[in-house]
Amino acid sequence: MSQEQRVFITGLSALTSSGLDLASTWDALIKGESGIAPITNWEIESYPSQLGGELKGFEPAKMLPDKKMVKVISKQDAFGINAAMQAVLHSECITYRDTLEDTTAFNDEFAVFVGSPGNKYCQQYDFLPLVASHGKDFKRFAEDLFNVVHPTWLLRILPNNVLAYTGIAYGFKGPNHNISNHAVSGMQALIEAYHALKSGEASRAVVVAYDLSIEPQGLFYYDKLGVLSATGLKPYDKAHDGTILGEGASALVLETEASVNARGAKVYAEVVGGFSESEGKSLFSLDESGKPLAELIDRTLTSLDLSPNDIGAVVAHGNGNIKSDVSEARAIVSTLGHVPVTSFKWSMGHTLAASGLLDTVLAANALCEQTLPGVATFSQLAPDCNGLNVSQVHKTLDRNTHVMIINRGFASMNACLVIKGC
Amino acid sequence: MKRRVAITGIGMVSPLGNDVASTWQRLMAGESGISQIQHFDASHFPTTIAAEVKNFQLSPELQGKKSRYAMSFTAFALEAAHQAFLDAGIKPSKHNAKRWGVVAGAGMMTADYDYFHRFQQVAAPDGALDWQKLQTQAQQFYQSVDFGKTTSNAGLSLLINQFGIEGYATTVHTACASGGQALGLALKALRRGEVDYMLAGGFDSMISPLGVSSFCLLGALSTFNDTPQTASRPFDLTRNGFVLGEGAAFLILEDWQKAKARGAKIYAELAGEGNSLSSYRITDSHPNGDGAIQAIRGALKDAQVSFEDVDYINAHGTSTKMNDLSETNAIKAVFEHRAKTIPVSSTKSQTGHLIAAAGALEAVISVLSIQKGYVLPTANLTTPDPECDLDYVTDGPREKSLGVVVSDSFGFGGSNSTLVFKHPEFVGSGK
Repeated sequence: MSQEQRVFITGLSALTSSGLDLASTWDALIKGESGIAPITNWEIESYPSQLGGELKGFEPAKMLPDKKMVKVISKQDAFGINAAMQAVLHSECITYRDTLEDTTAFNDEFAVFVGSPGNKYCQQYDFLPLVASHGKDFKRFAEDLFNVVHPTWLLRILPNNVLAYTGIAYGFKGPNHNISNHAVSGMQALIEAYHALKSGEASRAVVVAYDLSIEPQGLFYYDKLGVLSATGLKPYDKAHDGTILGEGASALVLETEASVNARGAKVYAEVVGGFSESEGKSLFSLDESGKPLAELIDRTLTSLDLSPNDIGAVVAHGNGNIKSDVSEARAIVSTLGHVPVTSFKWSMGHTLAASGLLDTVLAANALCEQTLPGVATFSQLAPDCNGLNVSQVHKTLDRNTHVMIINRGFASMNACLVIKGC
Repeated sequence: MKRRVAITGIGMVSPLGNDVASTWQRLMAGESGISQIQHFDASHFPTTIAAEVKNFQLSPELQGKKSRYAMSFTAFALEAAHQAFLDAGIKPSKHNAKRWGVVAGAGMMTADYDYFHRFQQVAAPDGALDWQKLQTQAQQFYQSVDFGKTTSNAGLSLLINQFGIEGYATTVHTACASGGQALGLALKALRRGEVDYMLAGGFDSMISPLGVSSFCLLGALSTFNDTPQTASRPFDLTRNGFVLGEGAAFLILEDWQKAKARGAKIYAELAGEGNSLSSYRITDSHPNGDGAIQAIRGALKDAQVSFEDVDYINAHGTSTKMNDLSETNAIKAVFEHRAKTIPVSSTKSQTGHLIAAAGALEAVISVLSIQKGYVLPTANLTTPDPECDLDYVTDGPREKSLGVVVSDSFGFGGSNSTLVFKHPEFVGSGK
């Protein structure tokens, strides 16, 4: 396969506070419902911001390929593995594999790309009793170690568990990456998977991203940083005052045109291309003018031979944080003018490492449904977001149009992806 | 036609030395970077030895506000990257910052013990968490730099901010394959024209009370505590686990034509990458080399070379029972009749295992091997394992002209990475 391949989306999944599958997550967007509520998994009554998007009714033992797996992975891994399974099932690619006499090439050309949150503070808490008992007396610490901490602790917290177990579950052996870059992890994983398929390195890929997001030690710092809202996630609204974190995962299956044709697969959208860049600033900074993001949008359009008029809608990052919203609005208005804009985080919270991939999954579904959901928490445009075409109202979306998805994260990262309806 | 990628700068902070020259000199002298752990009192752990970085100090020009979020291992990254930029004689400017990218294999530990202990004293004084205490004692506990130090992409952010990189930027973590996969990802981004220059490498340290505990709990570390310098013995019959190392290594990758045009010193060409998943077990590779085989074959194909062209294999060679057997079998499967004639060595015998940085360190070592015309030995292989029967270079450094070098990195979780480096003047056999 030396020729560049077109890349299609053939399987989708979402696992959010709005619902444990894509259908219920989408349904909530259409009904204007939100999964955000007071956090119940942790006792944080004294926290200034107590809202979060927690998964409801998630029972990992029932949602993994093997219920014993819960003992060797972390909670957030279970989100990711389940999302991968849902997307693979949705694509029906395993049904096709079952018809093959020799599955070696199928598996060797099946890539797994993951957007991982990396490690969480809470994963170290198994050591707290040991530290409390022995502090820096490492002799006694070592003597007690095997009595207090489970022997497989390290395996449970591996940042590449979702990658490994997704591969093991299906026997996929193709190219793989486990990208960990805060909130752009999932989007960067998707872009790399797209290139692996486009270049012929693989024929198909499952891309998955996941994040626990909500943990008290992290919330403590996000709050101190001033980026959390205690009232609700209201992107671009004059009342926007911060973001709200959400648990979640999503996945999609990508296939080359040749792979799609070989099995007559149903396609949901085409990945046209994407790019990511740093603004070169420090960990928690971003350029408030929106200029670097505008330059990335321009670069994306130019590189993909698109004009602003080709973009029928933008699924924006829209995390409700004032600086992020304003700089993003400036970038969109200056490059794409009055294009219809929406964002989805108001409904399920900001799922950090999963957010870019989740937004892409929902954007693909929007193209299939020919509906661009509005932002239910929006009422009046923030003055600094002047010109942004965002509203509470759902809009009709041409099935054949292009949708741009914008994704942003710590380390002044921006990512931009374009998909097209089929 | 694939865009060619030149390696024009290298830097490292390793257990053998805090720069490239001293590390190479000690590798050639057959010295070991492994000794009793000094970072904390590990005397009562099942394993008391590691390959630690010694006498490290961040260069004065790297100190200041931009490094305020640096931890020990991210400081290694800053230093190694700094060396690589100096060596290449080029760095991002306002004019070309968007044409520069960075990809790093980053370690999984994000909080050091002192921080964790401080947190425990406030939020879990008796070992059980009480989140209200964190709020009521927030004033005493909160330091703004803590979040900056413990965020998962803090290391990447330090590199971006310190060196003014405004293009492609990311970190990968596939355990021990991270460094190799980072270089592979950087190669791909360069080839497709997203950037013209790339800082690529890895950094890690798990030599901490929690890190050492985690591997001791698994029984993965060598317990030759009385003989640290010979504890890491890849492919030896008596091998009983790997030895933890720490450090960082970075390379400057550059569009070949641009490197030529500016008259840059080109160490080697990063010519190919193979990347596969074993899909077997989390901690074990397949005994027959499945997974690793696809990675090695993929890398040779990507580099457009035959197995007949390969002059040296810098092995993953961790000194664990299964890895060394599996890798040996993978080499036999790929290199067929040539398998026993190609020099294979594991420099982890001297450096220890730098986990997420290992692939990057060994990439630098591979590049130096090409430039200097030497194959480094596998130290401490004194009792041959009948099942590991390749030419592991046990007789000290071997002078040899090297046209094509392969470097393997395989990780927990089953990710495999193989890189292929070519001498700048390599002309293929055409086979």
